[in-house]
Amino acid sequence: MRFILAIFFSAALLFANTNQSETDEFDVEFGTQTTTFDPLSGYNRVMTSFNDFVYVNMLTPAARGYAYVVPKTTRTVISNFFDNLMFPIRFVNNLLQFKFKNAGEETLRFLANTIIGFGGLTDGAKYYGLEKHDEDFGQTLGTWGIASGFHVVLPLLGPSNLRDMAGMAGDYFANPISYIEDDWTAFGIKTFAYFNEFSHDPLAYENLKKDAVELYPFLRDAYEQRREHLIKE
Amino acid sequence: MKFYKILLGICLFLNSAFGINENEIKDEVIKKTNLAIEVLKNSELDNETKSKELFKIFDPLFDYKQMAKISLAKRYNSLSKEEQEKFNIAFEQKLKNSYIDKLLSYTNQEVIIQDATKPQPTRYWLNSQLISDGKTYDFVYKFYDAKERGWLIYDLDIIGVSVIQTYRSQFGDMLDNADFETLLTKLNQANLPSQDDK
Repeated sequence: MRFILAIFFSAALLFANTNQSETDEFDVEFGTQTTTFDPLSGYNRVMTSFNDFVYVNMLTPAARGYAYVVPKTTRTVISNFFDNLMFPIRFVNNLLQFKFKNAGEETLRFLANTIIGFGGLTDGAKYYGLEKHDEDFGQTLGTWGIASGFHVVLPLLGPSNLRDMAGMAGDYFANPISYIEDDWTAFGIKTFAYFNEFSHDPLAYENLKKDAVELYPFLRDAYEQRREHLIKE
Repeated sequence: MKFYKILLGICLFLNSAFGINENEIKDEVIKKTNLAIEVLKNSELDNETKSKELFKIFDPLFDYKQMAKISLAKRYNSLSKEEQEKFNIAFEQKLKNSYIDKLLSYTNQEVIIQDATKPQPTRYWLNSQLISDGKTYDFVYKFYDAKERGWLIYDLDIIGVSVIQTYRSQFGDMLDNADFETLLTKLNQANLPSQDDK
């Protein structure tokens, strides 16, 4: 009887140890720290609430209205045009990340879409298997080993961090629209391009928001994880 | 003959009791994905029936308790048994709500189950892709070796974002500023049906 009890208790102990080591393993995998360095947390929370209000009450209804009035084909043509125009951003950043093959593919894609795609209005290049390789300066800086820095929520633009904000300056100079002389016209065109893109799935933000229990840390963490994933790719 | 039937019965029972082996994961996920798509495409079923059918298909693959535990990190062990139980239930419900919401929005996307990676001997990450409107979205089913219970899912990674990691950050943040009861209340509130769905 004693012998059986001894086996029983050692087995129980073994399982307890297994569970403990399992918990430790998961802690290592997911990181022992649950909170990130977030010195602007107070401001970020306020800005997240502001952006949330604007997205839900202004941007989403406006985009839904726009999507109702403007046919999907027209909106896709507009998206294709701007997408083609943004070729320099993708090209330069692929080069800066030493992704020469992707930079080459981007060039072919640009030429194909400009020539046979009626100046970029259609994505004819996809029929030749030429794919887009989205890269921006924020990702380039990340690839060069620059840390993200702390999280910053930008008005209207949403989640970002110090590295990606610095990257935005780089993207500004690689964006042909920035070279339109009148600043307000350039700003208006960029805003329209963003709005048109948003209209393809106006409920995307609200659907994402549904998964959150606490909005700010949810958006912060999802953004930082996604950016790290894109940099590693 | 009867002996063989009994033996077969025992084997089947053991199979279900011990869960799936590592080398069965991919086939099992493909099988269950196809079954799920059949359910989703069935226009005769309403959403409630579809949800029940889908959970019947996927529940055996998920270790909801482990997911709840990881999402709360070390703080989970400081909870009483009763609190842990309450949290497990609320968390499972939240996870299922999010998951079913995405599944029910299925229209005609293509799901491709790809190869697996093994970051460590007790992990098996099954890489998959969802193709929708010509765009490709990567997602990963993350399995771990749950010993006698077989291999079970402990996390899902969608376009590079770990679902459990986002909960971990949210719960960590909430518990830094409030107590467990507040967290539980918020979690249960998030589980209430949205007014828009009515």
